[in-house]
Formats: sequence, C-alpha cells, structure tokens
Amino acid sequence: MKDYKREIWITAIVFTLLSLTGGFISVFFVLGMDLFFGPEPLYLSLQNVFGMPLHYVLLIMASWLGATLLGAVWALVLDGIDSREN
Amino acid sequence: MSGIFIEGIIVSVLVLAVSVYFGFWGRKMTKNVSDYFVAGRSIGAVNNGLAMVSLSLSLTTFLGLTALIFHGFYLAIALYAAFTASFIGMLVLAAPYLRRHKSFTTMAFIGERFYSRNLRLLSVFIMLIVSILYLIANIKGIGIIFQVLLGLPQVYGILIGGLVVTLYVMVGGMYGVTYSQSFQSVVVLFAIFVPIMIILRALGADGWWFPPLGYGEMVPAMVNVTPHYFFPFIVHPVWYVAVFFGTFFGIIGLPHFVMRFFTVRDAKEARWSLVFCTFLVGLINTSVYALGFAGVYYVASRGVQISIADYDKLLFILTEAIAGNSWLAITVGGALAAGISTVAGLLMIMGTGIVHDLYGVLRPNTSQEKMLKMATSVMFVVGVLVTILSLRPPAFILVTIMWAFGIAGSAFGVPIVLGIWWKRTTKEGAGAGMIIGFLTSFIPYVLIEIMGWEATMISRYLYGPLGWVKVIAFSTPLTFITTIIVSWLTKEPPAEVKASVDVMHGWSDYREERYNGKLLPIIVLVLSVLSILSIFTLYDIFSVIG
Repeated sequence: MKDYKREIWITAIVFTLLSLTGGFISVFFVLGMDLFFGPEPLYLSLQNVFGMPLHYVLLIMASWLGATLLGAVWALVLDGIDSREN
Repeated sequence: MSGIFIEGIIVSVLVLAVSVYFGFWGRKMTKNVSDYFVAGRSIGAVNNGLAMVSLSLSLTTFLGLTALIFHGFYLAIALYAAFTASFIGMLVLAAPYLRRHKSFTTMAFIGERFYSRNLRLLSVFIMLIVSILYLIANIKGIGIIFQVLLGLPQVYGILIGGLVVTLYVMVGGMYGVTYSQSFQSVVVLFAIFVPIMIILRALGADGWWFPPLGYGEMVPAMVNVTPHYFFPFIVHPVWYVAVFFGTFFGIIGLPHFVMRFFTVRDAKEARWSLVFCTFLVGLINTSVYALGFAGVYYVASRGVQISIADYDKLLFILTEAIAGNSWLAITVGGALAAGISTVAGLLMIMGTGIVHDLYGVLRPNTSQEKMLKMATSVMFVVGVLVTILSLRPPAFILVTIMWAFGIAGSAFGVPIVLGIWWKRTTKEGAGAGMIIGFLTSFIPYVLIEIMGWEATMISRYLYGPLGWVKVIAFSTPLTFITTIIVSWLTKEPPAEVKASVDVMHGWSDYREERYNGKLLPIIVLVLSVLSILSIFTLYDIFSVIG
C-alpha cells in the first residue's frame, strides 16, 4: 500500500477509535440503557470497578489513558513513516 | 473564607512575580519577529506540552467543574472526558501538519492554504470574537479568586490579573509566554493534585494515592444524595455527538491552542508534546472528578452544610477544612496560575493576529523592526481593552467557554481539517463554510446568552439540561457539508496550493492523487447528514426523560 494511503487509513482508524473514547462512548450507554442499567440501582452492584460503575470507569479511563495510548501509538507510527521518507 | 487571606496573597504575588520574571527573561531571547510571535520555532516537546497543560487547564478546572459535579452532573464528566481525548484528536488531524506549514497563526494558515487575503481578514475577525469570549470568562475567574479567596474586591483581581498578564506578554512575547506557562503548569499540577490526595486520605479513601480511581468508597454516599449522578440518559444521545464536535473540532479551531504548534522545532516535537499534554491534563481532570465525591462524602459524614452558591469553591473549602491554610494558599496560587496562563495565550494570539494577519496583510511592506515594535504596542493596547471589557463579564464562565469551543469548531476547525486532508477544498468552499459555521453558532449564542432566550425558543429540539449544546451538532456538520459541496462546485485550487498539502504531510515531491480522492469527502458528507438527522430522531423518548 502506498505510504499516503497507509497514513490516511491509520489516521482514520485511530480517529474512529478516539472518537469512541472521547465522544461516542456515552452514546452507547444511552442507546443501550436497558442493557447497561436495568432497574436502578442494580447496575452498581452488578458491574463495578473499584466501587465505581463500569460505564463511568470506562468513560474516564478511555478518554484519558485510552486516548493517550492511541496518540502515542499513532505518533510512533508516523515517526516511522517520516523517517522512512527522509 | 472571610477577611483578607495573607498567605494566599503572598503565594499569588509570588506566582505573578515569577511569571513577570519569565516575561523579561523572554525579552532577552527575542531578536526578531519570529522570536516574538513563535519563539523562533525552538520549543521542545516537553516544554510545549507543559505550556499546553496550563493553557488548557483554566480556572474552570478549579472553580466551575466542581460545581457541576457536586450538582450531580454526569454531563460534566462526559464533557471533560471529551475535552481530554480531543487533544489527541488535534494531534491526529492537525498539529504536525500545521507545524510543517510554517505559518505563525491559524489566520495565516487559512489565508495561505485558501489563497485568499479576504479569508485571512475574516479569520482575524472571527478569532477576535472567539478569543474575547474565552478571555473575559477567564479574567472574571481571576476576579473571583481575588474576591472570594483573597478577600479583595473582584475589580482588583480583574485589573491586576489583566494588567500583569498584559505586561509579561507584551514584554516577553512567545518566549515569555511559553516559559511562564510551563512554570504555571508545574504550579497547577502541584496545587491541585497534592491537596486532592490529602483530602481523600483524610476522608478514609483507600485509593487516596491514585485520585483518578481512588474514591470508590464514596460512591454509595453520592448515589444516596444524587441518585441520577451516573445516569447518562438524562439528555438525548445527540448531546454527546455535539460535545464530540465541539471539543474535537473546537480545540483545532481555537487559535491560541493551534499557535502552540507553530512554536515547536518540528512535526515530531509537535506530536509528542500533545501526547505528554494529554496525559497530564487527563490526570488532573480525572482527579478533579474525585472532588465532587469527596464533597458529598464530607457533607454526609461530617454533617457540614455547603450552600449551593459555594459549590464551585469546593476544592478550596475542603482544602481549608482538611489540609489547612498553607495548602489553601498554594491551591489559590495554582488557580491564579491556571487563570493567567490561559489569558496570556489568548492575548498572544489576539495581538499576533492584529499585527501579523491584519496590519501585516494591509501593509505588507512593513519592516520587521517596525513589526516588532508594533507588536509590543498592540499587545499593550489589546491587554488593556480586554481587561476593561472584563469588568462586565458573563454570568457563567464554563458556559461561555463552551460556546467559544463550538463557534471555533464550526468556523475554524472544519476548514483547517479539510484544508489539511483534502486538496480539493477551495477558497470559496472554505469561505462559505466559515461564514455558515460562524453564523449558525454565533447567532444562537447571542440569542440565548445575551438576549436571554430559552434554547427551545430557537428550536424545540434544544430541550433538556444544557440543551443549547445540540446547536453544535447542527452547525459543525453543516459547515462540513457546505465546504465540501461548494468546493466541488468551484474551480480547484492552484497547483502550488495543492503542492503545499503534500508538503504539510511531509512529502518532498508532489503527486496529484494524494489527498485528492472522492471517498473522504463522501464519507464526511454522509456522516454529517446523519449527525444532523439524529437531532430529530428519538425525540419522543428523550424529551420525556429530559
């Protein structure tokens, strides 16, 4: 695959994953409200991490560590593409 | 806190004094216009990353966010989560490419990429609107610190904060701003993170040493007081789509953020500075979430009452009660550092935009020496004017900043991203998109925030808590649609402009087919249409819940 197409595909994949971490993750919780929440406050005991609801932990950790990790991976890949070009 | 808080004033004076010192230190390094506007493009990843931390962590981190959390607002968490991730969005879509473009500002990029002097001038106007909104909200915050935390009249804070920042920005230019922001970031990190650990430990949280996940024991107390705290479906799902657009494209569109990428050595430094910044910003934001829980737990377990009006000062109330006055003084200093760093970045872009992109375009034969002298004078005048404007600030800091993000995202974020990733974006397309994006976001701002309209008076679909945010789910996709369609209908850009796109992506040669396909704009069009349509769906379900 040509390098510029690889660049576009990698960027598109990373951006899609990123938009999930930072924007659309809560949309899934809303659209799947019966699946995630059920009768309140049942979700607190059934799905929790360190005492916090699973969807809450997913949101804050994905948007922070998840996004940072994605960014680091993308930066490494692009550093590699740049150095090959040079 | 009643009376004058002497320790807080001492720490605040120290923060201001060190910031001014960096301003004069920066002056010594400033030899020419490039040094003044973009620090000679010499900044490394760590320094730039640190500078971006304090630039992005404004006073809302210390004041506004805790109030929203204490009110039981999952929406606040979702907003800040999107904001944290948006830095990587900026990394992926814009930062290294803008660095390679060799502009000084967003406005210069728009003028050169879209081969239009008029668009550059239009950009200056939009930049001033967005920056003023963002800036007066932050200067108001400095006034609040002086009034509430230091016991001095609010107007003193506005005048002192505004004029001190004006001084070191005017004197030091981008060198002064960068190094003072890096210093302010260290202060902010220390002043917020350590007190939170102390508070959590004192309240018995086992995970006090890792605040982002250390408050699980406090969840039952929060659920008892605010049962809906963790429920994300008190708003229509398109609200989260709007927040995504506003943060991801807003951060690309906010000129004072983008300007940081013109200061780094190369694209690689630009990339890693953002990764570093995201890690630190996320660490702070996720730790601040713990404060809301600590506040509720403190009230429930100790029987202390905190009035609704004091919710936004939760960090300071808990620090004073649990950690003591010395730590309170440091936290106040951190809040001040957060405020002035953001103000400095905004002043820098406003002054640069007026001198470099307005005067420099109208009088292109101005000598570099004269430009440099003008830059100093203009920074002073702009600083004084916005300080005066800030004497009549908006009611809600965080809301005004959110509007600034939304307007910037539609008016600037979209043309920047399309300009980088699609060669076929023409000046007519960008211009039409910028105008549509600006009007469809700024007019609702005027109607709702200035004229006092209810959001549902504009459209019934803007119902629910913070319902106006859904405007961004309309304006940003509409800007994409407008830009793409008008670009297709107009003559393609000149060859040298298309070649500049390859240069931005690091290519040493030119190939017509790169970044010139039809698939990308078609996908963006489809997603934009779906985003707009989603505003009108599921209305029956969510309007009842909301």
